[in-house]
Amino acid sequence: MKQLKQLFWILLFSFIGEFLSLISPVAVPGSVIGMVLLFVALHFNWLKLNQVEEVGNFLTDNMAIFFVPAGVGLMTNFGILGDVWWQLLLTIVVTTTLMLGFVGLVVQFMKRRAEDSSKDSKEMT
Amino acid sequence: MLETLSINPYFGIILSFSFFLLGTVLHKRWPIPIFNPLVFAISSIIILLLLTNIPYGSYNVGGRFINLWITPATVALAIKLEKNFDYLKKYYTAILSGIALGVIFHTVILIIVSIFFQFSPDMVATLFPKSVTTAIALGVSESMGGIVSLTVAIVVFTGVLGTIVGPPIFALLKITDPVAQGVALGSSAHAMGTAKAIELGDVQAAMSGLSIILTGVIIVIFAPFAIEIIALLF
Repeated sequence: MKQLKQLFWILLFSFIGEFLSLISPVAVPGSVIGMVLLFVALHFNWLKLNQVEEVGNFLTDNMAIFFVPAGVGLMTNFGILGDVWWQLLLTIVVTTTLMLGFVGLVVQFMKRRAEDSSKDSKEMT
Repeated sequence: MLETLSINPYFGIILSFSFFLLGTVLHKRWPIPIFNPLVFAISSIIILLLLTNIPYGSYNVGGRFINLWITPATVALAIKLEKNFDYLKKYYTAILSGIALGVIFHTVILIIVSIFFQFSPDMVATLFPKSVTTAIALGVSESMGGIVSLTVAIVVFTGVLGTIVGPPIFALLKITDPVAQGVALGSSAHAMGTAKAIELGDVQAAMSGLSIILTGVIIVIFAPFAIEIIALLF
């Protein structure tokens, strides 16, 4: 019964998200709208964490399996992949590696700078 | 016989579960990328369907029941966001600017590489959301006119790659800060990057999980501009 109620809340937010995505003029996935709405509801305590947590964690922790059918759909695109597969592979390797390093460096730099400046201001006072 | 059986919804469902669970067992024993459960399930099922000449449509009679759960699972990510909100409050400038600059940087590199390889606009749209979690990538790719199933495969491959190159890159660039490591993994390699972040530590794990969501939201906001840029350049 408890799980059923939790599932109900998550499905309700999913449905509202899908509905708003349908009538929204900009292209935003319904899942993202639903997620933002659920976050707002949880954050302002309209809905309590323990009203969705158990089923919610089950869904997110096992999320990977839900992508299997979409991934298998790749077999319908083998025609497109024919000539470009190695270029795609190279693109993914280059862009992913660069982004990973770039984000890491930026966050580390900004965080240290923020920590240094807060240290400096403490020393001055 | 096989034909009637293959259009029964349980066929696609059981096939998906069997290979995914088999992948979990294999990956535990031999933790190499090809045994990553998602990679293993997708590739084995494709090979099996091709060998037995069963069309994707038959498999997907059951497959779409599994596919249906992507949206609720994504919605439920809000729970992780709420639980890690304190981290975000504490380091929000560093985290948000890191991710936003990262998304812009990634788009620029992608456009340069795409011009070099002369990719079509659909292909650029297919590649654009590759670093975010599959559910969001799927939606973004679809709304930008990309090839959705190809995006899924690219997202999965990106995730696997992120877990492999992450630690060596941190060593090479001297990225030692746990928050920076977590954000880098989550923003460029989504849930699979987060699986690696869990191995690195608690702070990395929380930051990585948070970054999946933030990157997803930033990509969604940035997508309409990316559509304009792509239309202009290609």
